[in-house]
Amino acid sequence: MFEELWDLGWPTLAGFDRLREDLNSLLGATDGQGLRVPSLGAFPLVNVGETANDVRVYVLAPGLEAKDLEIDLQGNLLSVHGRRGSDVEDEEANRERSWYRHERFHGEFRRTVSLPDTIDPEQVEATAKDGVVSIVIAKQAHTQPRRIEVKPS
Amino acid sequence: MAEMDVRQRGEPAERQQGRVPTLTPAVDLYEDREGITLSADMPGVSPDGLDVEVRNNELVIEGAVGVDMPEQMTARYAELRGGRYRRSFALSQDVDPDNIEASLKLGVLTVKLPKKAAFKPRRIAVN
Repeated sequence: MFEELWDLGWPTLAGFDRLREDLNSLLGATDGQGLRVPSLGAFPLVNVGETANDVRVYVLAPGLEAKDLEIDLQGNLLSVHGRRGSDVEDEEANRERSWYRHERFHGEFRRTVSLPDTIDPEQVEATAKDGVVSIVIAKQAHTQPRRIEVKPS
Repeated sequence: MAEMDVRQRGEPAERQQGRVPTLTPAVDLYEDREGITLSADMPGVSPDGLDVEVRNNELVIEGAVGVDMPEQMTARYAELRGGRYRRSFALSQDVDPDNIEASLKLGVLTVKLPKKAAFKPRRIAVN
């Protein structure tokens, strides 16, 4: 029954519906994604970069300090776990408030990122600044590039 | 926590030459008797990179992402793609633009917009 309502016979808007469908499939593809890929609006966002000597994970967790986060590394799986509160949780003050936008994530979160096999899980360092936690994991020594000296004959 | 100066301008800002992809920060926005409170997630922004302005009855919040990164790094996976946050809000007449306060802590910008005295709710006594 609802299918019949799809085309309400408004000729000027029919093209836009098709455009919206095409854009959704182009830009918002949900099929075939890896299991650990977060949906839009995941918290915290994560960026991973790689240099010759290490792998760097940037966890964007505004409002949180190092002590608010639990970071675990098991094999090559890096996990970040924590909780972020919100002004909405202050029940007494909240009674006097009208909320217009509540877009910022609050609550418990856990993100897991899989790192390349070249990392050395014994060599991890994390620093936090301005709501970004930078995690540096060195690569195993034998996987780092080594310059080979050519001796003159 | 850093207290910021909120600047007021009448003229529009200059356009940047090389356009950096902008990110829209998520915000919480609520109102109570005293005024409006805005919180915006801007991870990676420090006080030096933050710009909060009121111009033409519009509140504009902007911040540059300044995370220390080695030059020889390649991206493997990136959910945050952009170097700059920007978002703007139209201000209504009841907001007192001269007493707006902004502070930045751990990448969260909090802006307090007090209401002009005439617009604060007053209880009316009934005889």
